[in-house]
Amino acid sequence: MDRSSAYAAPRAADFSEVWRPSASLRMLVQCVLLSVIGLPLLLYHGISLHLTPWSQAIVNAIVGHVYGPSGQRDTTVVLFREENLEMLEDPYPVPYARHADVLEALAVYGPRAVFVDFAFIDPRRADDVNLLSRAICSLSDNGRVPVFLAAPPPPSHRPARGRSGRAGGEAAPSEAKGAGAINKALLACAQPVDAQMDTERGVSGVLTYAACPSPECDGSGGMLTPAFGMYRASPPPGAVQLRGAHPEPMEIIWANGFSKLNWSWMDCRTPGPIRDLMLMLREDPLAAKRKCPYTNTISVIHLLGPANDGVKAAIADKAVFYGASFQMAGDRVISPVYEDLPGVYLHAMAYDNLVTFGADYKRAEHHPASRIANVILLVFTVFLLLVVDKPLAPATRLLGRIGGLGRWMRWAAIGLAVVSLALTMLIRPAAPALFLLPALVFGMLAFLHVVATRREEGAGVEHSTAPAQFIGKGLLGLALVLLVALLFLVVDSLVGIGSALLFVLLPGYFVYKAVVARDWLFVVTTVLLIGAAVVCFLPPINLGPRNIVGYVAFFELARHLIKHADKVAGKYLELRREHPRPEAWGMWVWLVPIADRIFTFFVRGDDKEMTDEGMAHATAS
Amino acid sequence: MREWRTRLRPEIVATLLLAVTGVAWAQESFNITGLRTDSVTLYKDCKMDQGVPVTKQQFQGPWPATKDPSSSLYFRVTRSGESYCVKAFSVQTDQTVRVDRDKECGAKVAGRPPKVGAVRGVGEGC
Repeated sequence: MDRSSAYAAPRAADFSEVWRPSASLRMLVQCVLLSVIGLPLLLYHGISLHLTPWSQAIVNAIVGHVYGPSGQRDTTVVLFREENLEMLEDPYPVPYARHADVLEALAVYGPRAVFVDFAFIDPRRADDVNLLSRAICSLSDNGRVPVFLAAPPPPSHRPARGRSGRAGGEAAPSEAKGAGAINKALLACAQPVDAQMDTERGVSGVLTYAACPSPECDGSGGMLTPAFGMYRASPPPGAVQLRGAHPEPMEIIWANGFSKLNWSWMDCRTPGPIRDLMLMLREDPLAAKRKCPYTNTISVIHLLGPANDGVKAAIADKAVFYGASFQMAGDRVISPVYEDLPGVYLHAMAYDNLVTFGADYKRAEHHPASRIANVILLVFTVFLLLVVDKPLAPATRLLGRIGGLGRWMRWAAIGLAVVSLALTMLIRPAAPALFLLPALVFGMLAFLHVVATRREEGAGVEHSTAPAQFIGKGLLGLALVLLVALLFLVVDSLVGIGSALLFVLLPGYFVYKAVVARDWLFVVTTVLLIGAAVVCFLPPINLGPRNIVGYVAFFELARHLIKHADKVAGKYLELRREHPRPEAWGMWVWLVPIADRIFTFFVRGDDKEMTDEGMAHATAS
Repeated sequence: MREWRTRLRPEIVATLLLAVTGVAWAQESFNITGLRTDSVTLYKDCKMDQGVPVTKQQFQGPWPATKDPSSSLYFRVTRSGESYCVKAFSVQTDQTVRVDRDKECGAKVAGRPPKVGAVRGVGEGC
């Protein structure tokens, strides 16, 4: 007995009909499906996690060329190194008398503001506390030099994997008492600040920096973090003050540069470009990092030595961050640019960002606007996928309307985009994102017009496959790959991997896609995505860098996915046409109506068969 | 034997010269002409528990001083025939006091600290 007869077979006339959603509904479903796939991949893990190092390496290279020096000029770290304990014959933890010496020496050189990244919470002799208290008051000079002391975060508000960000590792058990645990006598001339460090993310390390992390910040209370506290209390001359009582969290831009001062005494040598390259190929592009911090640094030995012009230049009228580098304390910060640094550098870098960008510092990834920007970029990517590559009827209608506008409109859009770009570069306005937004919109319109007119002309993205051209393109592609590989090695050895990625690999890939693969859709989409990311980054939007590599990878992945889904759906509909009788589908006949409803949603293009909603005979075509 | 002596002599001379120069350099003398802080502490015979505070008003210089051969952070001061130590950063001198070599030269600030037994996990590297 045929097993299929065991199932309730539908009538042959009904069975031959295939349910057809309207083109608009299909487009909507495809849009939702792609977005649902893209959301977890881009906003949480998946592609985003794996491609962050590449995106970060490109961001590092860009930052290396555009980050201004004003923050570096205004910031200095005074470091108490582990080796200094031996040089000074001091025990651990550092005696208060030694801290008093350091603060006294700082006072001699006249800093503008000082943050002390040591938590003075362990019980000490009253004499020692008084000595340190006097040194703090002397440094403070009746409040003329704001002094900030690191306070551990309250126990109720501590990140699960985060660290306190307090250097020195002094008296960890009593840290649980929270900010109130600092000896009150030491706060007579100083203010406590919340030295809580944000959690590390992926391989990039610490990228976000809270302004006021504790729950009390929602009201009028709560302590600011050191960088925000220092900037608010004593901004550099001419700096723009921050708005609001509690500023928004920051996305730290780790400046990718070097400090002449640090090079004069630290060991900043790198193993060499070839070894760096090997390391990066074995691990990821962030594996080879800078060996010396960006923030100008002197050690306590420099500070406590005889009067020195170098020390004076580093301290006088500067924002000083006094912290420790004790290996066993575990207070290290992982950054995408530098090898693990003592925690105090996180606060110094955040302060550097505030000086560099002022009120336009980059907002953190967990800022609501940042998530909205990510979703907009995702929807934008999905829109491009659905509109330009084998579009459905609504997209075709849209393209038809755009294509009917006439060529002069395209040139007008391109002209306006160029004007908008040129104006931004010439005027250098305070809110460049607003000036660049028209360039993005007009660029997008011009691109859609090109797509629409090429469709009408029947050019499409298909290109000739004549044998001579095929061989010619193959040779061209090979030559391009060899040239890019050679240039990559040269630029990497001269300037570094970031610049090699930015100036050789990316342009090389674009040229390959445009000239050899003739895939203008990819090139233009990438350019538009980068443009959107730049607009998000600049004032007044001020969001942190986007993972554009992730979006471009998603674009390529989704493009192949929907092509494949379209092919499978076409195959299914072909089978439905070839086998209109239920018996042919055997034991799975009951699944056919469900499969109809799934596969028909995957169909791309605007074939007449699929444009009208309702039921139709599969054999109609 | 004679040949050996000929070879050795220049080395001895050079060593002696270097030693003499080094001692002379370490004992390079200068004057403390003022205080950079409101008050400084003079430590008698460099004993840290025997401090004598001197305020700016009380300062009647100059004080003849030399570098402390055992520490670059202190100067040795002779005052009323007695020897004291004073913190180097807290005083002004009539000439730049050079340090022989930056003790921090070649310091490594960035980098992953080496793991020690205390933080090695069970089964790590298995």
